[in-house]
Amino acid sequence: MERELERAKNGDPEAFSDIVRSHQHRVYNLALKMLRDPDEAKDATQDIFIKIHSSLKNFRHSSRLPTWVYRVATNHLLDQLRRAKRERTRRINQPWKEVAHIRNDPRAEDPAVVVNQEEVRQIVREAVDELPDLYRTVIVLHYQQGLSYQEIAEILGVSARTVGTRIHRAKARLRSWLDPIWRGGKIDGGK
Amino acid sequence: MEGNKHCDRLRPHLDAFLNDELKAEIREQIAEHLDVCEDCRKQCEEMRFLDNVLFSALSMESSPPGLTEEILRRSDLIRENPPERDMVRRDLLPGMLGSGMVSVLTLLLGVILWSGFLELSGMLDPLEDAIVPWFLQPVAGFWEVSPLVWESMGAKMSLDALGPWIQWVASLTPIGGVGFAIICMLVTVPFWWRTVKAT
Repeated sequence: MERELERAKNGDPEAFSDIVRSHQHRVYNLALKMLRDPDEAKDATQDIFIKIHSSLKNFRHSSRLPTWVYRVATNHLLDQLRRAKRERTRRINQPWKEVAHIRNDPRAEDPAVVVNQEEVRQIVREAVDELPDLYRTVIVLHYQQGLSYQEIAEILGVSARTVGTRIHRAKARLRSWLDPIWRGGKIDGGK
Repeated sequence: MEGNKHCDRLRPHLDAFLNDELKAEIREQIAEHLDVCEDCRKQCEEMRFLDNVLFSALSMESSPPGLTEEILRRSDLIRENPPERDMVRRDLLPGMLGSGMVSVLTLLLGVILWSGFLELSGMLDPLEDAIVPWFLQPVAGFWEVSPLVWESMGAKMSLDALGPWIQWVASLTPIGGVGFAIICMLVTVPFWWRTVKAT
């Protein structure tokens, strides 16, 4: 990887192509969860790699290449979200009401079954989408990208403790929204 | 009861505990606490459940076809046709700042020279010795500072201390107008050359 990186820094298109191929899937998925729109995610992934392409010369090896790629990606995505300041029109309780029947489903008693229900996964995805950007970032980096607290800390430039706190708060919020479903109580959207 | 004592302190760390992200010492404390606190144990189970749901729900999707090729196509295009430089920021700004700084320094020096500063040492009266171009003479006296003010600022002391140097500078002042203009031009030429090249 180091040799590949050096070659890419010297302008070798093949080496850059290898870097794109090995990271593109992860960056796209991160963008998809952050931006919540496949077309925007695709464009953002391209922009992120173009940014990486033009700043490869400045890469100083102070961090690993994947960490740096993630850092460029998260900064780009958070900037894009900040710039857009999109007014979310979707209300979290709307899609949830559609799955109210889950609480009456006897299979819902078994957590393993609940986890594997596509509808439940969809609800959780919707709930994650509603998290504030900073919380969603750590949740996606940890649960989707499989990064450790320390790796996320390096990407975001914060301490591992801060990452732990953000994950804890994000999950507390998710639990407060999702509990009505797990417990079969009243579904009110959690907000 | 022991549970209540530690719950508030340890609960924020339950996520890290489940993800094996804690140092051994606090991990041990939480493990011991979970043995005795049913509430925390229950919360821990709920968190584990949420963890599983999150891992399952946030699985990766396949990237759109052709994404890699599109990225490589764009990067090739950029390599072959590098984007134009940011002219204002990179090319014009240094020229403007450079010549601006020189202009300010020139103005400052002019004000000092024409304000009666040199008269203190008795070397020169710029106004009388025609350092001031004729077309500026009508206004040159406007900012002349009284010798008393200069003295109160310790200017005479400085002039006496710097005597020979001041004499040398003062000897240049009759031709200083043209000379200084040439120096200013020489200083700003690199900045403006850069601008011309960029445009």
